[in-house]
Amino acid sequence: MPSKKQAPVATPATPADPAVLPAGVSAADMHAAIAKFVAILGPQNVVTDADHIAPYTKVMIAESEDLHRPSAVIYAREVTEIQQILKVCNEYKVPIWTISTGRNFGYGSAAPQSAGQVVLDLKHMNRILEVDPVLCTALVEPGVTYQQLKDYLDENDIPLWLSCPAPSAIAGPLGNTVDRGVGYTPYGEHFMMQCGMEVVLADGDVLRTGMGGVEGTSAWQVFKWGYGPYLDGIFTQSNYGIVTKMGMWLMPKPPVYKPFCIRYDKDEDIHDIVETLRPLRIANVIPNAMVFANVMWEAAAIMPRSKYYDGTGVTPDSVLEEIKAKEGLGAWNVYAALYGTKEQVEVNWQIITGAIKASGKGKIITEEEAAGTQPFDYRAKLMRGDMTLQEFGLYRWRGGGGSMWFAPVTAAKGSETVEQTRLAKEILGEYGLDYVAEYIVGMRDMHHVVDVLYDRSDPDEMARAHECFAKLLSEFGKRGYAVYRVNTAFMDQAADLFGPVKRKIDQTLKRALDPNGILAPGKSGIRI
Amino acid sequence: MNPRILPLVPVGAAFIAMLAVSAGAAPPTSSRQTPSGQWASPQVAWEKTCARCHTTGVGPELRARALPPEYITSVVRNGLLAMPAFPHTAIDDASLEGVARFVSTSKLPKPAAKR
Ligand SMILES: Cc1cc2nc3c(=O)[nH]c(=O)nc-3n(C[C@H](O)[C@H](O)[C@H](O)COP(=O)(O)OP(=O)(O)OC[C@H]3O[C@@H](n4cnc5c(N)ncnc54)[C@H](O)[C@@H]3O)c2cc1C
Ligand code: HEC
Repeated sequence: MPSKKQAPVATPATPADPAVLPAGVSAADMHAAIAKFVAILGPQNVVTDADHIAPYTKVMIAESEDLHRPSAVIYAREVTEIQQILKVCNEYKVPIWTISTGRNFGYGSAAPQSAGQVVLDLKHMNRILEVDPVLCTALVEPGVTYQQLKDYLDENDIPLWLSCPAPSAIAGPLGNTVDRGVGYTPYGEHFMMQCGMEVVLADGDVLRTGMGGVEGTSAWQVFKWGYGPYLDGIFTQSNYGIVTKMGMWLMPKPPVYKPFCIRYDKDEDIHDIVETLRPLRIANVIPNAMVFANVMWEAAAIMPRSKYYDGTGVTPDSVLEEIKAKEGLGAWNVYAALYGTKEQVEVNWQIITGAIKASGKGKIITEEEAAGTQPFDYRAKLMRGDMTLQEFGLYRWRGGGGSMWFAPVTAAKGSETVEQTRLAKEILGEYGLDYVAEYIVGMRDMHHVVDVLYDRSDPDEMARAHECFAKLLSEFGKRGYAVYRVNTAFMDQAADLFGPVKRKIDQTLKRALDPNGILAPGKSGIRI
Repeated sequence: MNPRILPLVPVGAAFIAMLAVSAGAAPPTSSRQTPSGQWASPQVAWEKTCARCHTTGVGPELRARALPPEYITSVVRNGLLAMPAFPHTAIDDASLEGVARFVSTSKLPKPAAKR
């Protein structure tokens, strides 16, 4: 319970023994490890009490919180502290689950893959180490949020734009990028725009990737590949190291920014949307990670579904038709933007409007026509890397706070979207769940992002959501489709889709780099 | 200026002009920002986090409801269904108590004058 009045300055007590233990660690060893953490970090940075642990236990995935409850949470501020922590973890085989800003909603939130892991929260390491307005680069620590970086650019009048995921304000570039997240600007494929890392390895070594190992280098944030094997990739979606610094490229603020929407009436239009827009994306006429959002995704940003339907189960098609008509939403709604000089934008606008006209479908809506209404307004913010949390409206659509992203990769071909959309809708329907989806367009792929929404306060619906997700993975897998990222409940099942050799190599690397398996066991299905 | 580092954006003359302006004005390497979890004021914390959901229809209206501060802090720490939980590193106890008091005693903004 939160204290009412500020207590007189009291030395924090040594933390109590944790309520949960990591698999295979005795209470005595855990007690000893905690005492050593306290010696390194001070008692206020090692917490085991319910009040402090609670926020790290709240998950949206369809599994009991007990399966993901941490034993303790520790806060580090310096690389040297992390090195010492790792020594203790190796000594007692205590596993740690590292988070940076800890907002991995729908992928496991801040909770570890398995119960008892110690959460290492790096939110206090929040220095913006460098922003170079000439080369348009930044070097940040894990705890830096997009909001903090945005404020810094604004306060210092630096005309650079961020690219952020929809939870922008409260999430952060390092955590998002090492999980290979995406945003909506021309820099939307975040890992592609990452350049140089500092990583603490399980044995305490500190590696700087790319050019970072060269003494006196000025190129750490400008040349990604360095020399010899390129390593940054193995520290993403993995458990081979703790990333403590990350370089990234920022986009110069364009003189003209022109966001727009194209509305399509019919579900089957998804085929032609892809065929019409793919060439423009590949040719960089549309330079950003545009999205194709379906009617329910759009509707959720502005209202709960109870406004039109207070039944349970799948939202009937007749209701969706009514919503489309009354709220002016398309079956599919494209959001894209142009960036550049006035002349560049004008030329590309002509090409795009010409292509839409030639395709014979789609209604273009400009920023002026949208006139500050949602969902256009928040989409326009996302496509310029601005702060908004509007997309959390998804959780009031059905209510109950349950969400898991099912995000299979799609080749950007109309035929494939038709098949994936049909299959996802059919499987979700079997379990009484809605197809709430968008395609986020990459360079040649698309992330087909389906928000598997369910009521977490209803045990029956939660069980159905879990079963549904497993089936989505397996049925898609049978057809050669697999996800770009997955939540902590399904990491092993997703890893299997990529084949036994990939799993073996992942494990070989794990054994070489972290022989005691102390770093985030289970992440991406990887253990020693 | 080498367009090599801007692979996805066409680099026009205006971009280059814009960047050249700021070229001399590299800000000093920043030291640590505000310690994580501390906020300049309860109002700033409210505006930069809570208000983005609670004044936009994403979450319920909280203002002018005289919600008990203890209830507010408990929801923030534990989360509540669609509402994410906030750990101490995102908002520390002192800041959260400030936000809770601020919200608890808040009023709705006056509606814009109707014409
Ligand atoms: C409404 C809504 C919309 C969303 N939209 C998007 C979207 O558009 N794009 C998107 O990508 N995601 C999206 N998400 C998912 C998620 O919230 C974001 O990806 C978010 O950025 C991840 O949280 P974070 O940035 O705080 O990273 P963290 O939670 O800190 O990190 C993510 C993961 O990376 C690993 N990790 C973190 N730090 C380190 C480190 N220092 N060293 C090694 N490993 C580390 C851990 O496994 C951790 O679980 C959305 C979620 C919601 C609820
Ligand atoms: C990402 C969006 C989001 C943010 C940010 C957010 N909330 Fe919420 N909050 C919600 C939603 C959604 C609900 C409703 C939960 C439900 O019933 O499913 C809610 C519910 C609440 C409630 C309970 C309201 C009631 O009617 O009982 C309180 C109190 C609250 N939030 C306080 C806060 C405070 C204080 C902050 C800032 C520190 C905050 N919230 C930040 C989304 C948010």
